[in-house]
Amino acid sequence: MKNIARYILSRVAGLLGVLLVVSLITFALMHAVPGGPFDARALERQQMIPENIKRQLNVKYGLDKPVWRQYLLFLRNAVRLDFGHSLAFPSRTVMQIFKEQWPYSVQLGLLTLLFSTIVGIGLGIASAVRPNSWVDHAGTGVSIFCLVMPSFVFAILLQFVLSVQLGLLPTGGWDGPRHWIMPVLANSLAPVLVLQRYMRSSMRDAMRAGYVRTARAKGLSRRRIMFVHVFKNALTPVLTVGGPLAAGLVTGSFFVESIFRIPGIGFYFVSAIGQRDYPMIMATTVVWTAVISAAYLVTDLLYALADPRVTLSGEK
Amino acid sequence: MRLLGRAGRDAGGDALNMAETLLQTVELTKSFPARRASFGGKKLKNVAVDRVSLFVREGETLGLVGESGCGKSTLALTLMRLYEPTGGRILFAGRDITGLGEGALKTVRRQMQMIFQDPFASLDPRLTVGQAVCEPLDIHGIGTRAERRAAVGQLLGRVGLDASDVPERYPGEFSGGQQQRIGIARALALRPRLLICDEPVSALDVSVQAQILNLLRDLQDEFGLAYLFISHNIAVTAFMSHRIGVMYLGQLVEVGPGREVVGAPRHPYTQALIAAVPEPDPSRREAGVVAEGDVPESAGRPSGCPFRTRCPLAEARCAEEEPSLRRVGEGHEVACHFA
Amino acid sequence: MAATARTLNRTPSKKRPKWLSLFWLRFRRNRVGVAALSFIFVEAAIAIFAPWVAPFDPYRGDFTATWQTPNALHWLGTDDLGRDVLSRLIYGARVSISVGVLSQLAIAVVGLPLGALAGLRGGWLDYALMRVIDVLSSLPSLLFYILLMVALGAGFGNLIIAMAATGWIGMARLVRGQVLSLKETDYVRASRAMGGGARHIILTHLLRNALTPIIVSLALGIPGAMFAEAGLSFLGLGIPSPQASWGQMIGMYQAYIRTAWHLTVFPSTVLAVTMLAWFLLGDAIRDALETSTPSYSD
Repeated sequence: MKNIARYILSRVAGLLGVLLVVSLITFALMHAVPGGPFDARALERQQMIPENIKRQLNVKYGLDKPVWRQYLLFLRNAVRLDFGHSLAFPSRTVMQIFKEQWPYSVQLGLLTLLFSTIVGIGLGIASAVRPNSWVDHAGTGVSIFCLVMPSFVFAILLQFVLSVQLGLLPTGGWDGPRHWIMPVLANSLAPVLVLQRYMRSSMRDAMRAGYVRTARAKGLSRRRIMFVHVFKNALTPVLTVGGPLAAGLVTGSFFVESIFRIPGIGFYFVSAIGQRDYPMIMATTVVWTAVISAAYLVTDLLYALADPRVTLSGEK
Repeated sequence: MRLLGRAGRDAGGDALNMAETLLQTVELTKSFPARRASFGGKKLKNVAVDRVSLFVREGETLGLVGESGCGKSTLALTLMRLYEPTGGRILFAGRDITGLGEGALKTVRRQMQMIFQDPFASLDPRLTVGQAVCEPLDIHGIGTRAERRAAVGQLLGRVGLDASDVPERYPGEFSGGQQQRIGIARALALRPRLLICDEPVSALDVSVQAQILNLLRDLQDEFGLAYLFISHNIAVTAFMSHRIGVMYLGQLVEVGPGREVVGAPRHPYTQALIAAVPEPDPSRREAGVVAEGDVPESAGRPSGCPFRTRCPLAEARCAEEEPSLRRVGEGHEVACHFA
Repeated sequence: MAATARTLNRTPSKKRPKWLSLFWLRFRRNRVGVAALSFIFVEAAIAIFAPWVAPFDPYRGDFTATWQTPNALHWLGTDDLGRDVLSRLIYGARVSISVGVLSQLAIAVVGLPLGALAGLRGGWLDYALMRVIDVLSSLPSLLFYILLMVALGAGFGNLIIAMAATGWIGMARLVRGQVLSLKETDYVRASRAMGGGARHIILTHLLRNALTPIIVSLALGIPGAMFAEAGLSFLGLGIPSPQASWGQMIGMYQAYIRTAWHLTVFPSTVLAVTMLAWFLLGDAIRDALETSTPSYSD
């Protein structure tokens, strides 16, 4: 057990290191922007922000202090999840926006995950079980489609055909199940691709393994072999895909939420970019990176628990 | 004894004994960190080459024989500084090259070349034969284009590949024996004084082996080359070598003139190796020393004498005290308590 | 010892075809790849000769003809400033293709030497590079792009810089892996034994033996770069107006999909089809390369 504890510790340490560097990069870039949140003179010239808030911002960001102190202040605030007020919505702090809009993104993400897991893993299994059949070719076609079709293009086309032309579905919003269909479809492209590919190759590897032949020699029925042995073993490597999957869901949400007017974090992030709302941009970057890195960490740990060889070797 | 090739009818014996030492190692050691390090546990070491001291004189062949895993190939690579030694020294023509920097090493490398066990793997499949043989000349900027091309043709001719289209073909189009000839031609391009032959015929068919070995001997006579000839086959080694060294688990356990090491081996391991050579004539078969068991992993070396776990003569002393090389005859040393 | 003619088992005397023509032979047999190549060829030709092919000036708007849906004069309609959509699409092809190709060039220039040197030299250089790669790859590339473009500002040059800054990682990692496995081969060892230095090994052995995965990575990187440019322009961070870019058009007019569908649907279709073509081309190149280079099989 000591091995696992050491493994966890080293990975968590790595995660913190990464977050530190990412925060540094974010801070450095935002600092370099003229008119950015750390530009004291730009703040002065800002018409919309009242004077007392300006003074507060000066203190909070330490705009009159040397750079490294600003960074430390930024870090300290970040750890407390205090990113200040949004420039686009001066009456709300960034964290307030997060807290209020967070559920929409999570719902979209979970629905997408559910849908793409079913489709992706299903297609992968079907392709592996019946290689070179029409099912396999259909699966390949689907994965090529997912690969080359940008999610926002797909979203637009879906919107155009299903909503504008055929009037079957609403163009945007998030009020009910009918609103879910197109965004989930559009957001599922990348996850379906990844899951299908991984599952297919993982299944093939598992099916070719020696113990499968042993099981057949023992006389077990094909279906039982499939479910008990092959499927279980094939599923484990697919766990590793959780990290990249989370990354894909996060970045996909930017486009999908914008196009379908879903008021989640992605939507606010995109409008923050357009309006140069730097506190929002910085906060979202750091938070999203933390979430994605945590996803990598969790999936790595799950995989390590499932396959003890990973920790015993002491290698990553 | 029929095994004795060069070791036996050694015509230039005296001249060789007077020849200068070309290559010498002093307690050369190469160890690797063992792979299965537990997280923060004890760092195990795999000592592949263990304080080996040997020498090769100008124009002579030192054969190095031993089973797989005894460190012969690692020794060869370490001598060429393709691995960095972890201890000891290497001297070439009297000069210490152990820690030499890349620049100075480049000039030394012209005199010391190598041929490899897998002839095909030692040739870049994407280069033509001509380009491969010319590579050393290119690296050192020797001669003009035309001169190089002529030299390549000459070299290939000398090793028996003199058809005019040979330089344009790719290594994959040749047989193993021919590929090894190409490797030899390439090694000779810089006119080295020493050639390290790492199991040069082990991957070849038996009939082809003889051809290559004869070629190597002819080249030695013609150019006065010194060889470090590494093999796991003692018969082949005896054929090629003036002097023979026997390695076991990284250590040199016996070294001496070929005729003595083969004809009257003093170390139990050497005796076992000789006895293991199949004798086709049933009337001449003798029972010999048999070593029991398998070679232990070098990371888990036995204490004391490394051979004691398989040695029929082993006693308690062998586990406590590691035998060092002792002189038992003219130029003949053995590392055994009972020799 | 003239046993050569006897023991050779290949077709003698005729000079072996260079691998380039061999590659082309293999590639030709892949009908999908050839179709994709033809499409790209035509599209590239249209892009290069845009000033002569485009019916209208993409920057000049006709204020009497704004928001027009496809008609006889403007085949794909006009936008909010009266600019002809077809012409803007044609000029947008210039942007997509040049961003795709130039970004890969930049990535190769930065990533190749770094990866090769790190792999060859090892030591602290390799260690440092791997740590940098580890950290940078935990930041999703899109976020990194966004940060960089926000800091640098929109524009073609900045876009290439941003793409090089994110893309070099994959190339360096790939090249380093190739070099590491190459280092274990006997012929590289022989090369070092002869006195060959890092530069010699890279130029003589690495480029010849590792070229396939590098080329494939670059070829498949082009549609990826197009995707990134489109996405960034969609967000307003890539190519700024008034220059025409497909992603930018989609982004600017996506809110008007009900009334002015032509402004988003046409760029979307062209983008999707182009990316498909480039991807199929890259795939075909990979197939042809992997089956046409000399290897151990003989």
